[in-house]
Amino acid sequence: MRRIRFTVFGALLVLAACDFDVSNPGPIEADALNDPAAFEGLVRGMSQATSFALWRLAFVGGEVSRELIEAGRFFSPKLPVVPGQLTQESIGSRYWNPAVRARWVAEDGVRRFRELLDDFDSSPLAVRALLHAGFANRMLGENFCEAVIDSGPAEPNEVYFERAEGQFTEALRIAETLGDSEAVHAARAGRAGVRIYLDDWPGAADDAASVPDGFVREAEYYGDQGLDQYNNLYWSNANSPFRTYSIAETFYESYYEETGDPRAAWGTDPNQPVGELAHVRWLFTVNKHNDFDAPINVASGREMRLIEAEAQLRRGDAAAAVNILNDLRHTVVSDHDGAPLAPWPETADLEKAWEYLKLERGIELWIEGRRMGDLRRWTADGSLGETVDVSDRIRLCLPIADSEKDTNPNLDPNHQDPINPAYTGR
Amino acid sequence: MSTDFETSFDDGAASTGASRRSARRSRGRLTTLAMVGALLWMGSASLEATELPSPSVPPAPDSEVGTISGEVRAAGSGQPLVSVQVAVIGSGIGTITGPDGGFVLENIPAGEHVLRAQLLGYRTVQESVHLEAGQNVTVDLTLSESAIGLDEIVVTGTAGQARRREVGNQITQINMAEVQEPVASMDQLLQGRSTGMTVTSHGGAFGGGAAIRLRGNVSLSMSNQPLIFIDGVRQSAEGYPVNNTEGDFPHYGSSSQMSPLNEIHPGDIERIEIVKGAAATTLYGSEASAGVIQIFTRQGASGSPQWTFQSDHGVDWVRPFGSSQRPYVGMEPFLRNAYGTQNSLSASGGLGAANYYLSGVYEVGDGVLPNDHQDRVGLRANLSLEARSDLLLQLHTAYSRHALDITHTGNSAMAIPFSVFRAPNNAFGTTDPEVIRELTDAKIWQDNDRFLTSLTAVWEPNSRTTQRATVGLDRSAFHGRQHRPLGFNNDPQGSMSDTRWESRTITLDYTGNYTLLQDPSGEAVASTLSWGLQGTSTEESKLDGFGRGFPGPGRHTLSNMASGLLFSSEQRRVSGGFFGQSMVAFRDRVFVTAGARVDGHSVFGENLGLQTYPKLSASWVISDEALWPESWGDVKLRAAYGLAGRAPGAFDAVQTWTAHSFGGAASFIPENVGNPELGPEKTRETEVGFDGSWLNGRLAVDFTFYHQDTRDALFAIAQPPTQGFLSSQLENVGALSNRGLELSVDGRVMEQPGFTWNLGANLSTNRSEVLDIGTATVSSIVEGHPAPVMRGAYVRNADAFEDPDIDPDHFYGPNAPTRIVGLNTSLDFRNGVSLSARGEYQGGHYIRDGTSHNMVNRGAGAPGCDDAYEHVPYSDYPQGDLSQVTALDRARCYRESLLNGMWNIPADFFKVREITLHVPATRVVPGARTASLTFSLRNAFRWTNDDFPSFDPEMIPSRDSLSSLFVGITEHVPDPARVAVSLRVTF
Repeated sequence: MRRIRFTVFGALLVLAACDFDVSNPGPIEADALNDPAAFEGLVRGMSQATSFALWRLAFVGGEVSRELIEAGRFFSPKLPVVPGQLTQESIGSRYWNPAVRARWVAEDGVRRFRELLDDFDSSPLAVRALLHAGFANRMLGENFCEAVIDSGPAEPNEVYFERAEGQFTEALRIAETLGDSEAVHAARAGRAGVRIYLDDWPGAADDAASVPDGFVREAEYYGDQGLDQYNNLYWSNANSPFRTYSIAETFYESYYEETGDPRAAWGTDPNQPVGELAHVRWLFTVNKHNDFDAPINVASGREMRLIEAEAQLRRGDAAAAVNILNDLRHTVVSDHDGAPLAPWPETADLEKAWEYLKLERGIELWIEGRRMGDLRRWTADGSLGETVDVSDRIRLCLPIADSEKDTNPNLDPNHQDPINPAYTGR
Repeated sequence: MSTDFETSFDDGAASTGASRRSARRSRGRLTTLAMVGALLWMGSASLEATELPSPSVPPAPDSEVGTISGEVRAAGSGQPLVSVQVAVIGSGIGTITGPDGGFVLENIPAGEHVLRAQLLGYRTVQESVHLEAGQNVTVDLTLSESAIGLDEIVVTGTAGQARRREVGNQITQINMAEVQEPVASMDQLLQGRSTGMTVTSHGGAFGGGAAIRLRGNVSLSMSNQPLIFIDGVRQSAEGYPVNNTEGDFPHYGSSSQMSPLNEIHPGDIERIEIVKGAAATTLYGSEASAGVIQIFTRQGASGSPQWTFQSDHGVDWVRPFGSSQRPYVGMEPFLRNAYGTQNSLSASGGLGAANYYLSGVYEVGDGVLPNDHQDRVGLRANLSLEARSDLLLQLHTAYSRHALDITHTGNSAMAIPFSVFRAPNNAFGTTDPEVIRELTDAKIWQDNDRFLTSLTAVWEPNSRTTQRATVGLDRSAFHGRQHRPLGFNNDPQGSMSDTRWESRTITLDYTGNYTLLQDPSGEAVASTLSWGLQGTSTEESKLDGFGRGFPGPGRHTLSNMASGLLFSSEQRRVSGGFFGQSMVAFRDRVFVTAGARVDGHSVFGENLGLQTYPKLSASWVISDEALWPESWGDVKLRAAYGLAGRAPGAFDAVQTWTAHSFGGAASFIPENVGNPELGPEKTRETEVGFDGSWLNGRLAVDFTFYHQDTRDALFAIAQPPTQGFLSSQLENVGALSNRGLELSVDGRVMEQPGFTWNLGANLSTNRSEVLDIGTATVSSIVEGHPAPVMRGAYVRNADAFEDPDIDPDHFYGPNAPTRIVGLNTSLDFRNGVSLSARGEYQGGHYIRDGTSHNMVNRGAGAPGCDDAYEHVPYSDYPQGDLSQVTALDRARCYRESLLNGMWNIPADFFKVREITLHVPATRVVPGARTASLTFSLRNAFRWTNDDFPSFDPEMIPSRDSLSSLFVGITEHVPDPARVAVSLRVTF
């Protein structure tokens, strides 16, 4: 019997000695990111999160604002016709979630750096983090009707722009301290872009004027790093069986045919057999995003010129505005004849000039995730764009997703969107 | 000591239930109170009981031994019985009968002996034998079927071996000797064999495994696959990884998840035990709430080698699954009759103290879709050695290699069924099959490599003590490749992936049994104490490479590609637990068992600690009581209560971020919020029932009612996205219940010399209800409804020829069957010919026909609407004359009116699983001891209700794992039918 007792005791001893504390490689435990060696990776994560959200918003924003159309094969072709088809579920998983994560990742990094960096006010890392935070907030403000910060209550979407303006301002201060001209241009371009939503046109024009024509800040994509780092605007249109969208039947289809403006270029896929259908919409490909790693512009000197032109219009100077637009067009060579694009007719007519500005802004910023914001602020101004029917107010902004309303203790699950009340989601 | 098989024999007086009653009829009964009191007394009894001497008999000189030989046949039909355990009681000498029912026992000491023959499903018989030195005595034995097998030995969930009469829970045994049809896979073997078990195939996804559910779903977030043990060693019950690469869109890979279970050659199996719920699986701890299936492979027995050769040949074909207008929904050009063959050879025997079973199997065949092809090789060596009189060693080793070419199927633009069903709205914009056929240029290959080995030592230092230790290794490896050639339509640069995955599970299992009190008379109190310790460590690693851009035509490696990606992952899970159990028997007819298991697990949250799972069960062989008239048959009452768990995943408890390479530098993205309180969900089950046998064993009834309650149920709770973590976090917040009954009735309807007609039926019901979901929001998991529930838009006036009256959010009903009826019958003739059939009905549930929904939504029109389209073509809606189109068809057949839920359909069905004709052929195979031919027809007939329009009710949604909660239809063809012939020869 002693032997049995010994065996039982031994068995219990073995179990007690079992080490259930297993540390698996791969996922990074949160505390490890407080190590300064991880800071560069945190900033890269901000860039990645923003890029991922941006192509998605450029896609859906382009779709609802008629920059492109659903090809009809994988998502319902009814989408542009029936706003309800853009379901709450898809808004959450595809658009809201990655966009609000991009803001959180960037602002969490800023908080972390502010706490852990002794030289935050002179740190290049701080500048980069603040710029990412600013552009993430701008992206949210341009595309969503309301703001929610860190599972707080619903707020007007101006909150995003106000946060962005503060972040760009702080980034600008540190960048100037560091003498980092690229960062200075980025901060000013970013701040100009949000000030137009805060109705600070003098401030926007002032910032814009300091940014040279050749400046470009881009969202990065990588064709050799996996699906979630592709520019999926390319992949989902040109080089995958998805071909989820097309430019057929949009303004840009005929505009490119008429002008050869390479900013709105499209083509057909030579690798595709011609189907039985008379008009296979998904075979029209967009040339703007021509590879897996094609970047998407986040801010540029050319965008600043458009802001300056709009500021001129708002001052009532139509001729000055059109001159700026035509200076831009003169730098673009037509794919048809290799000659600079034809200018907009000179005019002192404000209404005509507004039409040209809205078209030019649409062409210059085509499928970059900017159009919904433009349409919304122009609608608020009472001056609609000529290219888009915005009677479906979905075309103006996306609502807070159910994924937020169902989980955020500070939000009513039946919260109604002020701009798109149809989006109760219930 | 006794050999392993003999440990399964009852060393007490061998008697049937009826003879026991006769012996005890005049004796009194203990009151229930006395029983409980005795149990408590036994629980505190001293362990210092007297040890009894071992029954082993010392070897005798050759001059003093003889031989006993004979054959064992079934009463009634007179057919020879295979694999009967025949032993000389107390000698440690035994063997099993060969295919002709014959046995030979050599070197038996001269003298008086008792010979015993035992076979699962038959009553044990004993016969006295007088043996002179040098004599060869022939003893022929006849076994009668035992309807409830009270003295059969079971081991699953029992802490060592137990007689069925001692077990308080229901336990199913599948005896392979009774399975006559050629079985192509384990999934086929299990389908329809046990009440309350569903085995749902992957449809026509070649190589795909089956989802096995015992008593429905007990978990809403974790796997509902049961635990699988093979010869006491735990193996992965989950599928192999699906052959997808992280480098590409997951839809473009394989949609077949294969099951390691199917790497086991059914011909190597001797028997299977199935226990279905927590009341029976408590001793398996934190991962056993979905039940346990334990597989026992064949063992050799002393004697000359017995060779068995089996050759199976079959043809698969797809039965129509569409409408009368489109019976194959356009798939005709891509379907074929697929031939496959499986050939196996095994040898078993014994050399002195060592026994062996060796086998090899080779399988080759095609599937019904153009690229489907497989080769499989399996080898097994089971060795046992009686190293000392008190020590038995067993080594089980098996290796298999399974290579498959798989046609791309499922919800993917690269897949043929998808492209055909949606034509012309596919990636080619055409219905032309020769254009679509280009998709066969994309290849998916998969090699599964499996090595399973275990060493078991059984030590019986004295007659009261048995100690068994097993150490085992299950190594599963997978090599998946995909290849899309240069110039491929949907990937012009071409791409390839190469994925290697390996899983190693090491199991350590120790169980001790000690007989505290022996009761040789069967009229007093007996008691055993059991204890055990289990440890499991599973390590998984995966290396996944993807490349795009071939340098030119031809074969290449990833190194040749223009761009490449590499992904790797590793994880380890460690669990351990110990248990203690005490069983007290009163007069060998009332048995009370109490026990508990304590578990630790590396996946538990850091604040959680060890988890305890108690159990209590009782059985009462009431028919052994003196007052029970013999004409009332044999009846055992039973009840069991127990808890078991289901652990979360390896990373669920920890807050983590993922690290990527973004533009060549590391980047971090938040992934998992983490939950330090995370623990297993616990299922508490109570089951009561009885096993009965009447009419001299001709009628057997098994009835069970069960009620399961899962508390601390794990739910994936979505987090506010504005907090940065987009993935849901598992939390122990939910509760659900599951209850049902299981009834099986088996009878010999007619039993005459040379002819027997058996008829059996089983019924099981299952009703699940979600009791609490915390703050979870999942549309298919709703408090007060089944888990999961199908919901969506519903047409109230379905059959009316008017506009649909829509309920926008209707709860259709459960997705899992609520009632299952199995039927089986066999006709056995004197000359060994037998004809058998099995069928199964499942019903009460709804599934989503996602394929039809997508066909309507994408402009192709569903086959289930073809009648409606004859009145109003798809393209004419809504302009056409709808007067002949029902409200339901108006709501679901045209894109403009289609709403989600319109293709939730009732999935009741009846299928004839198998029709088998078995014919002896010994005379036509020269030199054979026995030979037989078996013809079988599988899956050839199906009935569905009128509301089930197309495809098949038994399909797993594309890319869902075997552990998925849902059954539904995506872009596959259904499981094929099969006709097969099998030749089995022994020599």
